[in-house]
Amino acid sequence: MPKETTSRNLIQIARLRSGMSQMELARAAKTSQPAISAYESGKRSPSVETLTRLLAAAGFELRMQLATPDTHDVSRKNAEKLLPKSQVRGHINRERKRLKSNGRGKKS
Amino acid sequence: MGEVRNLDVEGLLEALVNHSIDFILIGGTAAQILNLPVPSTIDVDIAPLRSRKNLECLSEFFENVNASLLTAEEDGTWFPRTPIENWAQYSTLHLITDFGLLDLVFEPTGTSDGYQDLVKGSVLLQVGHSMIRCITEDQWVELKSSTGRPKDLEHLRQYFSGKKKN
Repeated sequence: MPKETTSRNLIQIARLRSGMSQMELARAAKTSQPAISAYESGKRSPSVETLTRLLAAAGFELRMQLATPDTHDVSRKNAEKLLPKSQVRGHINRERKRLKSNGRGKKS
Repeated sequence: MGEVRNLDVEGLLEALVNHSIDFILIGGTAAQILNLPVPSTIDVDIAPLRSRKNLECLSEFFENVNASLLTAEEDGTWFPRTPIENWAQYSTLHLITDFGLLDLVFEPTGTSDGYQDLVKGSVLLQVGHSMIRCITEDQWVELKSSTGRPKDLEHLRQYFSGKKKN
């Protein structure tokens, strides 16, 4: 099973979209800044109840839905094997350079 | 199916334009062109207009770039270009072409009518030798937010944390 990353990403996205610091979100959600930090780093996973509360404190509502698994990544990985390896490597390196030079992103 | 000989985003976009195909660039390549702080994938995603004329242009394009269908099970399968209804019934087509990987997404999640929804806010950009329609940064955020897929949330997190740093 892949690691669950949805809750940590949702908390951080909600906080950043609302322009709050971890401390401000902690205050609004009546929890501590270290707890927010632990959730965002993935060290701790919140319960659905806690996640709902944290997102509400940032001004968002948690909505869930069921979906069939996305097979696109599997297809793409298969296809990548058909592409010239040097070109795939070139693409990845160019992307790393771009993300590094715009100073905003993380390495792929 | 052997090795695909090329990975040429500009060439692929130019070929689409040369076949008079109406489309909007979405997905990772759009993010790359908009210089968003998220890594782009090696496939090109487009939302084509679903009109009869455009589907005919796509059909001719498929033939000229040796498009084959890609699935989780198959590494690329040739498919008949006509009748158009056979392939146009699907909302998404994952293809291998002479220029690399191409995804046709007729109704991207978060839109009600694909191209028609996106064209209103899209921008015209020069990529290589071609002028193409591309989603805007706001549309990219909107589309990513709509899917709810873990990898899209990861990209959104990277985007918002990158934005805060600037």
